[in-house]
This record gives sequence, structure tokens and C-alpha cells, in this order.
Amino acid sequence: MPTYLRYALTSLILLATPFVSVLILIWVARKVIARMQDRLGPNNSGTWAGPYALFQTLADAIKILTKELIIPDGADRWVFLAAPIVVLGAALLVWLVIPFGPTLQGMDPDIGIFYVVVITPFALFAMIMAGWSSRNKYAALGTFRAVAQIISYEIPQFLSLLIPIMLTGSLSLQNLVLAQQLPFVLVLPIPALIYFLAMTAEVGRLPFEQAEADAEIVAGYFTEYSGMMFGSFYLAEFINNFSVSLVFATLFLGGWRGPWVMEIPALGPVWLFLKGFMVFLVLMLFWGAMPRLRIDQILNINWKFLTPLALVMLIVVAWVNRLAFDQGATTLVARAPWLLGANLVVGLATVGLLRLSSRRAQHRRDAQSLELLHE
Amino acid sequence: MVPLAWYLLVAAALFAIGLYGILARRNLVMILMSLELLLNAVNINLIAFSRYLEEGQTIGRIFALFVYVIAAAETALGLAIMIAVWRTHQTVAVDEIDALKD
Amino acid sequence: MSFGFEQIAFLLTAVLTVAAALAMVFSRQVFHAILLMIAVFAGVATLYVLLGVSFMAGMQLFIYVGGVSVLAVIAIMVTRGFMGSDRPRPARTTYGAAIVAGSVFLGLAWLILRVPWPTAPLVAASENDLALLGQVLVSRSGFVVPFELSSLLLFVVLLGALYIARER
Repeated sequence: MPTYLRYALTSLILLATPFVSVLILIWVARKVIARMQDRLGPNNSGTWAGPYALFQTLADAIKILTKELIIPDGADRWVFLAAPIVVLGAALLVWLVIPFGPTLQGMDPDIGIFYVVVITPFALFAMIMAGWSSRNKYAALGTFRAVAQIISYEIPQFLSLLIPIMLTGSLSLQNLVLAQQLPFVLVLPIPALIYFLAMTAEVGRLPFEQAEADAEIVAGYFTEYSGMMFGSFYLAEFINNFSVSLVFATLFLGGWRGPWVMEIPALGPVWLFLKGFMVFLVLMLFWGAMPRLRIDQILNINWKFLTPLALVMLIVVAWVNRLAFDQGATTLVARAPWLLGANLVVGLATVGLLRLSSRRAQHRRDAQSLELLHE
Repeated sequence: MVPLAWYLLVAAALFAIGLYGILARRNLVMILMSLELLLNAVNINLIAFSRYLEEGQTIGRIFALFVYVIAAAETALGLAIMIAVWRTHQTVAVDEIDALKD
Repeated sequence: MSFGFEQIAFLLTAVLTVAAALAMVFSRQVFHAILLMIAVFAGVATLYVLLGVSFMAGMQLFIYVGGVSVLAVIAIMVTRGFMGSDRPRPARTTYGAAIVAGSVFLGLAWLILRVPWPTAPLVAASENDLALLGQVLVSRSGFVVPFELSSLLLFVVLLGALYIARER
């Protein structure tokens, strides 16, 4: 096959996969959340939309395409129009480096995971562009919240990312997968948890859904968007949800690794998508079950809990890893008990500290209410 | 490969544009941003030199990394000063901040 | 000299970057200027990719787009009124600035074109020399002292910025 044809085919597949999978995932998300809220969700009660209303998303997409595009008076026209394109582009760029199999990957740059981190601010800038250009108070509020939340949570996310990178000794996503003789989540449960929370905040899912808190500020930064421009934000949101799930699966769940994958390379994407789908499902369960945290609570969790914990984990894992290495544990499997033990100790210490501080806060509240009683 | 002179010319152009921004704009934000252009021009030079002229290809990149540190520090402090100036003067135009003259 | 893919990619990136930089310093809206600045940073990152140092391209985007630009946007948003359009300076200043900047560019260009620079890199791009970079950065014979000093600098700047910008 000529090179250019292969390039064209690769780009086509990389562009089509997110859209096709998202069409299914939106249906899954709606169904799951509906069942959790004791509803039916998309079904055949009105018009026929395929078995179990499987084609509901497609019908919605066609409907949304026919809607009028409204540009508000006083909007910053070009910035307003560019924002939906930028947000979708940023969502798609991540797919370029996700390793779907031993040899199945758009490209494998040596800065691999660093590239994924670097792409995030572009989505943030799409939000800023949308929020600023709409000339709408709700949109501006949503942008403030999104910016504060996302750049804060980038810090524990990056710190917890450094730990698997340290164990692998490479930034390349392919090497990160190859290094996981054991999935990193079994070796590093606490960094995996930190990364998962930070990632949930990054895509703005409940309980961190401040950027588009629909009960408070309509729809946040994309309040003013209509028709396919709104559809582009909606799609980008789901693509982001799924691609961060895939990145989490790659980093902590062993990526394309699985039984028989070496004999049949085509199984690689299957395992990866299965793992990514499980992570996505957890995100959706959060969405259905969690209340929304206030913005100050969100920032407190980040700065007073996740960031210090991630820093401690980084130091502890570096130290324990070196110690185990000097004791002759050269493979990851041999070092796993050491690292797991370290995680356990840090976890227990964290829980102890949290209980202590919550008891102190309770005492303070009791003392305050006692004073009020005396007055 | 592209000749080294091309990279140097682009860097020189960015440097000159940044210089113009610093001299011709009144808004402090714009001046800070033009300063970033200057630092970027310097970084292009450092990295291009390290790529074309250096055996180990590390020293130039490390210098560029230190320039990044300085750039981040400079922006943080500059914006902090700007916010403080805004609080006291209600303006960020450099030619209106002349309290010492009066 | 032959015009291959690399030359065309370079020229395209260079022209777009310089055009974005020009549009940035002439733009009246500060918010537009920030967006154009991001375009300039992305263009410079592309130049780094073309140079074969993708790590520096990543750093460029990480620090400038993720750090500096977001900082600028936040600083502007928390202080209402910055974003409005910028009244131009008197024509005398603008022309003076243009003359200074133009002559600096012409002088630099004259100097650059006088020197017989190499037209190809000394060694081929090795994509996996990040480890070497890290070792030089933290080795005692390398740059460990400036490295630690720069972390101290960032810490002091953090405290200083907080002190200057806090509400009194």
C-alpha cells in the first residue's frame, strides 16, 4: 500500500472512531442514568427509533442539524464561531496518540503522554472563547468556574501521572503499556484514584460539574449556542469523556494488554475499548448518583487534599521503588508488593489524618453552638 | 533540511515585532505579551543553534528551559503588579500611571 | 536548494506565525491579542517540531498556552475593564516605534545573512535523547545548581505575586 494512502486511511479511521463510538456511548449514558433515576430513558413509546431506541442519538443529531444557528447581538462574531471548532478539534487530537494495539497507533511521539497533557489547555481556551464572546453573564460565570477548576486539577493530575512515568522510564504511551506486566492500578491504587478524580474534574462530570451547572447558570459557557454549534460542544464533551477514559485505561489498566492479544493483535482494540468503556461507565454512574459540589469545596479538595497527597505519593513511590530496586527486585512484579505496601501505609495515614481533622472540626462546631446557647 | 538562517530570520522578525509592541502599545497587558514575543524569539535562536551547531544537543535546550522559567516568573509578577496598579489607579495605560510626576 | 515538504512546511508556519504576531501587536481588542498570541506560541511550537525537538514543542505549549496565557486571561477577567479596546498612542510614538523595530529587524537580518551559517544540522535528530537532557540538567557537573535556584526563584515569585496582588 502506498504511504499516502495509508496515512489517509489512518486519519479517516482516527476521525471516524470517536464519532461512531460516541453515538453509542450517548445512548448508553442516557439509558444508564435513566435507569438510576427510575425512568426508561430513550425508548419506542413515541416514534420508532430502532430496537431499544438505539438510533435515538442519530435522530437527535439529524434534528439538531436542521436547527437555526443563532449568533447573539453584540457577540464577538469570529471568536464565537471559532469556539465550537476549536473544542471539537482539541477533543479529537488526543486520539492521535492512544495506542490501540502493539502496532496500532496513529503515531507514537517520544513525548507521548506529555502531548496528552499539553492538548488539554486548548479545550480550556475553547471554553474561554465561548464564554467571552457570548456576552452573557451565565456564560462568563461558567467560564470562570471552568478555568479555576480545570487549571487547579491539572496539578494533581500531572503529579499522579509522573508516578507511572517514573516506573516506566519513558513518556511514550506505547512503552507505558508495555511496562505494565501488572496493571498499574494494582501497584499504585492511590495515584490511580487521584488521577481518576482529577480527570473527572477535567471533563467536568458530577460531582465536579461546576462549569455547566444547569440548575444555576443555564448551561455555563455554551449557554448562547444553538443548533449544530451546541451539538459540537455536546459531542466534544462526550468524546472527551470517552478519550480520558481510554487514557486512564492505557495508563492504569494495562491499555491493550489482555489474554491472547499477542496471538491475535486484533484483540488489542477490543480490550482497550472494553476497559475504557468500564471507566466511562463509572463516570456515568457518578453522573447519576452524585450531588454537585460547591466551587469552594471543589477547590479545597484539590489544594488541601489531592495536591499534597499526590506530592507525598510521588516522593514515597520514588523512594520505595529505589529501595526495592536495591534489594534486587528488578521487575515490576517483584516490586509490586513493596509499592502496594507503601500505598497502603500512605492511604491509612491519610484516612487517619482526615478523621482527626474532621473530629477537630466537629469539636469546633460543638463549641460554637454551645457559645450560641449561652448567649 | 531548512538552512539555519531561515530560523534566525523568523526569530529576528518576532523580536522586532515584540519590540514594536513594547514601544507602541499603552496597555500593560499588551506590553507584557510583547515581552513574551521577545523571549520566544530568543528561544527559537537558542534551540536552532543547539540543533545545528552543537554536538550534544543539550546545552541550548537547557538554556531555553531556563528562559521558560524566567518567562513564567516574569508573567506572574507582571500580572500581579498590573492588578495592584489597577486597584490604585483604575487604569493600566502606561502613560496615565504618572503619580510620581504630579 | 530544493523545495521539499520540509521547506514548504517551514515557510507556511513561519509566515503564519509572523502574521499572527503582527496582528497581535496591532489588534485593538486585548482579548483578540491574547488569542493571536496563542496562535504565535503554537506556531513557534510547530517550528520546534520541524527542528526535530518535539519535547521543546511540548514545553512551549505547556508553559505558554497552559500557563502564561491562562494566567493572562484570569488576571484580565478578575479585573473588569481591562478587556476594553486600547486607545492608540499618539502617531509620533507609533512611528518612532515602527522605525526602531524596523531598523532592528533590518540590522539583524543584515548580520544574519552575512554569516555563512550551516544549512544542515550537525547530527541527525535523535528522538530519544530526553534521558540525556534530564541527566545533564540534574548532574553535579551539569546544571543542578541553576536548576535548584530556578525552583527557588519560582517559589519566591509565587509568594511575591500573592503579596503584591492580594486585596488590602
